[in-house]
Amino acid sequence: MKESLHALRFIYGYPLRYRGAMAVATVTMLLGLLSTIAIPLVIRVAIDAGVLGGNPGLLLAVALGVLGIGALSAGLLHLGKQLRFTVASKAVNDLRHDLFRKLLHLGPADTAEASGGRALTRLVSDAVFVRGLTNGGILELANQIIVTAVMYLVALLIDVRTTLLASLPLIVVVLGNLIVQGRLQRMFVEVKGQFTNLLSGVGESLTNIGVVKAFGREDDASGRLNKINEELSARRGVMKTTYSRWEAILNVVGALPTPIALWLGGNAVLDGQITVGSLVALTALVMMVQMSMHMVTMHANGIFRSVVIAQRLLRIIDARPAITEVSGSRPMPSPTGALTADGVVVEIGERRVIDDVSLAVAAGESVALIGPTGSGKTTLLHALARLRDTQAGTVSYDGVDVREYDLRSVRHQVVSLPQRQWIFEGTMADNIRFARPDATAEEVADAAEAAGLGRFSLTRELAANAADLSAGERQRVGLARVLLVDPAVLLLDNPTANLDAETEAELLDTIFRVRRGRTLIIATQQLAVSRHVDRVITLNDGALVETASLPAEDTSAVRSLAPAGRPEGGQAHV
Amino acid sequence: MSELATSTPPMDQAEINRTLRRALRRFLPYLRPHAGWIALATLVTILSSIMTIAQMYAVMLGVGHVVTGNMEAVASTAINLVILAVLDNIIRITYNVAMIRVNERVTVTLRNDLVARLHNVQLSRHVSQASGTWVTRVLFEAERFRGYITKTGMELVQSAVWFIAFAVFLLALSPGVALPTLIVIPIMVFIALRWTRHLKTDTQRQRDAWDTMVGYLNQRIDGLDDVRAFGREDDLMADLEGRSAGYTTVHNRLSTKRLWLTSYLGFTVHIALALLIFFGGLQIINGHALGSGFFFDLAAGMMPMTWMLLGTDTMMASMGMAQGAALAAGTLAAFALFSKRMLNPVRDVANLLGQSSDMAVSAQRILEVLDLPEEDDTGYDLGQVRGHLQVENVDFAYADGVEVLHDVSLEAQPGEHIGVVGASGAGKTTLMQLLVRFYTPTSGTIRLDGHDLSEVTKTSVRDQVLLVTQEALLFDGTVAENIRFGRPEATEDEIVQAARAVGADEVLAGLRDGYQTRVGERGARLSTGERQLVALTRAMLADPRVIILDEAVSSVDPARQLVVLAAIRRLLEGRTAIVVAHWLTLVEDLDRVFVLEDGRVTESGTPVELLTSDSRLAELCKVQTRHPVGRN
Ligand SMILES: Nc1ncnc2c1ncn2[C@@H]1O[C@H](COP(=O)(O)OP(=O)(O)OP(=O)(O)O)[C@@H](O)[C@H]1O
Ligand SMILES: Nc1ncnc2c1ncn2[C@@H]1O[C@H](COP(=O)(O)OP(=O)(O)OP(=O)(O)O)[C@@H](O)[C@H]1O
Ligand SMILES: [Mg+2]
Ligand SMILES: [Mg+2]
Repeated sequence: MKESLHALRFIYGYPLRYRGAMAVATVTMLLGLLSTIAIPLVIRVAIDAGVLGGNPGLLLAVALGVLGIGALSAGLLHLGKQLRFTVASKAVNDLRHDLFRKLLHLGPADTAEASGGRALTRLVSDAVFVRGLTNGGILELANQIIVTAVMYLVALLIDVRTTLLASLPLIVVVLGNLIVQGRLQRMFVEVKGQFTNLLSGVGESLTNIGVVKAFGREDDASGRLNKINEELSARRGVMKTTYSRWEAILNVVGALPTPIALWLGGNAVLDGQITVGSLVALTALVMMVQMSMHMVTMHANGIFRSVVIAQRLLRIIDARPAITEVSGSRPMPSPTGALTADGVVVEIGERRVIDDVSLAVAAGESVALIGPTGSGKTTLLHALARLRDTQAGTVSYDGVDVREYDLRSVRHQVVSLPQRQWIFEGTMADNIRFARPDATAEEVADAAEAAGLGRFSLTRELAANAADLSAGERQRVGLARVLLVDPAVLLLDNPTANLDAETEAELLDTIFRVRRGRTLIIATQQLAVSRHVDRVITLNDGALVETASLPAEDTSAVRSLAPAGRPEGGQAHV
Repeated sequence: MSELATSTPPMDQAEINRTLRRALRRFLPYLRPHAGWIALATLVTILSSIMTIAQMYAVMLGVGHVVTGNMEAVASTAINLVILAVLDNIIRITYNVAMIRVNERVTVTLRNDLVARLHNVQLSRHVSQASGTWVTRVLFEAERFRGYITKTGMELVQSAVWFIAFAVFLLALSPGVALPTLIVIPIMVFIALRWTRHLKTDTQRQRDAWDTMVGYLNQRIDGLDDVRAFGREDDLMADLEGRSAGYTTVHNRLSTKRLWLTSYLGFTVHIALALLIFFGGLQIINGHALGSGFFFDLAAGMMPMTWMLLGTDTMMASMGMAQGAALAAGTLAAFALFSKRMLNPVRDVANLLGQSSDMAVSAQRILEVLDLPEEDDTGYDLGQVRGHLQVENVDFAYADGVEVLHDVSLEAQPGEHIGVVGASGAGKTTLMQLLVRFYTPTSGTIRLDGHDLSEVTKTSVRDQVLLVTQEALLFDGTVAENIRFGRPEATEDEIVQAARAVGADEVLAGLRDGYQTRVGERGARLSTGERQLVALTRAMLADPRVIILDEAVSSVDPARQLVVLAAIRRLLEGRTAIVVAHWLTLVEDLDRVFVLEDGRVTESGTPVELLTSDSRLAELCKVQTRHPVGRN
C-alpha cells in the first residue's frame, strides 16, 4: 500500500509540475460537465409547460437552451482538454528526460533495468502512459465524482425517496468494481511484462540478424518471438474476457436504477408529488449518474494501472547507480596525468574481477596493459576512469582521490575509449564531433585525417550501429574522437584489434606523437603496441602479475605477448 | 538513409482511398479464418441495436402508462426493463468474447507475419534501416491496427445498424419529427469528413516523428557507455530535449485538430436533440398523435424481435393504450432520455470515418514491411558439397553504388585452408558476405563445387558455408544457450566437447557460472575475447562443410589465438576454411594466402612463397615486427 502510494505520488508528480494549468483545466472541464446536468432540467420544462401546457414559444426557448448548453459545455470541455494535452505532452517529456538522465547515470550494463530493450519500453511506451494519466486519472476521477454528486443532489431535490432507493444498486456496482480491479491488476502486470519481452526480443533479433542469417535460423528466431507474441495475446485475452464478464454482471445491476425510478417515480406522479416532466428528468438523471459511475470506474481503472506502470518506472528511477556521486564534489583541476591505484578491488556481482591492484603511473608515461582474455583489463580501465566504483581501494590523480571530483569534469580530463565504438545515424563529422561538440570543422577534419579516415567525406551519412563501415573504420572513428578531445589522461581499450599491421603502425605513430608527454594507458593484445610504450603491465585473473620497463627487449612480459613458441611474431619466417 | 521512416510523402484523398482499398484486400485474409466469430459479432450487434430500441420503447410506454395512471402496466414495464438489461448484457458479453478472440488472433497473426518478414529480408535492408524504426512497426503499428481492423470495423457496422434501426423507429413514430433530425446527421458526417482532410498530413507527420523519436532513443540507449566515457551527458540531454520539443510540436498540432473534430461532434448531438424537442413538441401541441399511419405499421412489422422481447401482452396493452397526450409525452420523454445513446453512435461513425487517414497511414506503414521483398531463396538445392570454392572476376558495389570489389578472383580447393589479408577497408568482410550470399555480386560468379551460387537456394548455401562474423553477436541468455544456437538439438555434453575442441573450454568453464553464465544483452556481461570464443564454439558446433572466420579471434589474447587456430585447423582437416586475419602469424600455416588491396587481389601464393619474396605480405609482416619510428 505504501509502495503504491509512493508510486502514485511519483507519477502524478509530473502533471502536477504544471499545477496552475492543471487546476484551470480541471475547473473548466468540471464546469463543462456540470453544465450538461441542466439538460434534463430544461427538458422537464419542455414536457410540463411546453408540451402538456401547450406552449410552442417555450418549446423554442427550450430548444435554444439545449443548443446554448451544448455550445457552452462543448466549449468548456474543448478548452480544458486542450490545456490538458498540452500539459500531458510536457509531463511525458519531463518523465522521459528524467528516465533517460537516470539511465545515463546508472553505469555499465550490469543493471538489468538499464538493458536496451527494457529501457526502450520504459522510455517509449511506459512514459507515454503519463499522457493518459494527465488526460484522465485522478483529477478526472475527482471531476466525475463531483459531477455525479451534483447530479445526485439534483435528483434528490426532485424526489428524495425515489432517488435514494433507485441508487442502492450503484453501491454494489462500486464495490464490485473495486474487487475486479484488484484482480485485473495482476494480469495487467503480466501483460505489460510480455510486451516488454516482445519489444526487447524484436530489437535483439534484429540487431543480431547477421548471426541469425549466417546460421539460417530465421524461422527459429521469429518462432521464438511468435511464442512471446502468442503469450502476450493469450494473457491479454484472458484479462479482457475476465473484465467483460464482470462488467456484464455489474452492468445488469447498474441498469436496475432506471426501472426502479420509473416505478417509484410513477407512483409519486400518481400521488401528485411530482410532475410527469420531473419523472422524466429524474429518470434521465439516474441514467446519467449510472453513466458517470461507469466513467468513474474507468478512471479508477486507469489509476490502478498507473500504479503498475509507475512501479516499473521506479525500478529505473530508484535503481542504485554504479557510481555514487558524493555531494560537495568539486571540479577536477587540470591534472598533470600522474595517477595511482591503491589496493583497488572491483566486484561485479559475486565475483572479484579486479583483486587488490596497486599501480602508479607517472605523468606523461605510456603503459601497455596486457593479459589474457577475461583477465580484467577493461574493468580496470573503467575503474581508473571512474566508470565504475571500486569496492575497496582508491584511484587518485595527483594524489587526490578521484571520488572527490565532480564526475563530469573527471570524464573530460580522463577519457576511456570503449572497445566497441558507438556509431549513430548522422554524418561522419557528427559522429566524430560527438566527443567534443564545440570542435571546429577544421579540428574534426584533422582528427579524421589523423585517425586514417582521410579518404571518407566528412559529410558521408553513417548507418546506425556502423552497419555500413568496416570494422577497422568503426574503430578509427573512436580514435578520431579521442584525438579530437586529447584529454590529459587517455585510456584506450584494445584500440587496434581490428586494424591491419600497416594501419595499426600508422595510428600508433600518430597517437604516440600526439600524446608525447601525456599519460596514456593502452589495454591491448597486440605485440606491436608494447614496442611503443614505456612500460608493460600484466594482469592475470584480476591481479597484477608483473610490471616491466621497456625498452628491455627481452622481458617476459613481451614474451607472453608473443604467440607461444614464436617470440617475435612472424619474424622467424621473414 | 532510412528508407521508410522519413520518406512517406503526404497522401491526398484519392491516395488514402487507394491505400485503404489495397489494405482491405491485403488484410482480408487475416479476418477470413474468423468469419464465424465475425458473423456472430455482427448478428449480435444487430440484436443489440434492437435491444436499445426496445429499452427506449419500454420507457416510452412506461411514461405513457404513468400519464394514464395504469400502474400495473408501469410495473410490468419496469420488469421488462430489467429483463432487457439482462438480455442486453448477455448479448454484449457474447460480442465482447467474440471480438476479443478475433482481435487477439488477428494481431498475433499480423505481428508474426511482420516479424517473419523482417527476418527474411535481405541484410542490406537492415543496414539501411535502424532497428528502432522496425520495432515501432512490429509493436505499436500492429497494436494500432488491431483497433482498426476489428474494433473500428465492427463499430462501423454497429453504428450503421443502429442508425438504420433508429431512423426506421423515428420515421415510424412521426416523419415530422424524424426528418429534421435525420437531416442533421448526414451534414454532421459530411463536415467531419471534410475536416479530416486537414488531419491526414499531420497524422503522417506525427507517425514519422514518432518513428524518428523511437529510433533516436534506441540508438542513444545503445551509446550510453560512450556518452559516459566522454562525459557528454549534458550535451545528450540537451539534444534529447530539443528533439522532444520538436516531436511535441507535431504531436500537439495533430491533437488540436483532432480535438476540434471531437468538440464539434459533441455539439452536433445537441443540435439534433434541440430539433427533436422542438419539432416533436410542436407536433404534439398541434394535435398530431405520434405513432400512427404507414410508418408505424412498417416499424411494427420490422420489429417482431421487440414484440417477442417485450412480451405480447405488453405490446397489446400498449396498442390499446389511450392515444394522444399520454403516448406523446412518453415518446418525447423517451427521446430526451435516450438522445445521447441514439446519437452517439452517429457521432462515432463520423469520428471513425474521420480516422480514415489514420487507418491509411497505419496500413501503409504495415504494408511497407509486409511488402519488403523477401530474400531470394529460389534455385535448386546445393546438396552435399566437397568445398571447392571459386570466385571468378567478381565486382561488387553496395547500395550507394561505390564499387568496393573489383575483378576479384580466388580459389580454394576442397579441404584447403586459405587466408585473406589486407588493409582495413580493403573489402575482406564484403567478399566473405558474398560467399554466403548475404549479397550478390554485381558481376562475376562465385562457384561452390562448380555450382553458381546465384542459382542455388540461399538456405542450402548457408547450410554448408558458415560465416563467423567479425563482431561476436550474442543473445541475452546463458553461454550454453548461445552456443546451442549453432545446433539446437545439441546436448550439454556436446557443447562442452565443442568448446574443448576449439580450445575455449578453459575460459568458458572458468566464467562465474561456467556455461550457465548469463551473458546479458548483446553479451555485454562478458569480456570481448570471451564473446568471440562463445561465437566460435557456436560455429564449430554447427559443423559446416566450409567455414569462414572473419577476424573471429581478433580480440582473444595471442597465446590463446594460436591454441584456438591450431585446434580449428585440426578440426577442419579435410574441410575448406577461409581465414581473414590481421595478425599475420595466423596465416602462416595456411595453404594459400590472398592479399586484398583496395578491393583487388594483388598477390597470392603459399605463405612461404610470399613471405620470402619481395611481396606486400612480407612488407606487412615487417611492419608488424619493426620498431616504432615515433619513439625517441
Ligand atoms: N557487466 C559484467 N557483469 C558480470 N561480469 C562481467 C561484466 N563485465 C565483465 N565481467 C567479467 O569480468 C571478467 C573481466 O572482464 P574484462 O572485460 O575486464 O576482461 P578483459 O581483460 O578486458 O578481457 P578481453 O581481453 O577479452 O577484453 C570477465 O571474466 C568477464 O566475464
Ligand atoms: N553496407 C555498406 N554500404 C556501403 N559501404 C559499405 C557497406 N559496408 C561496408 N562498406 C564499405 O566498403 C568498404 C569495404 O568494407 P569491408 O567491411 O569489406 O572492409 P574490410 O576489408 O573487412 O575491413 P576491416 O579489416 O576494417 O574489417 C569499406 O570502405 C566500407 O566503408
Ligand atoms: Mg576487454
Ligand atoms: Mg572486415
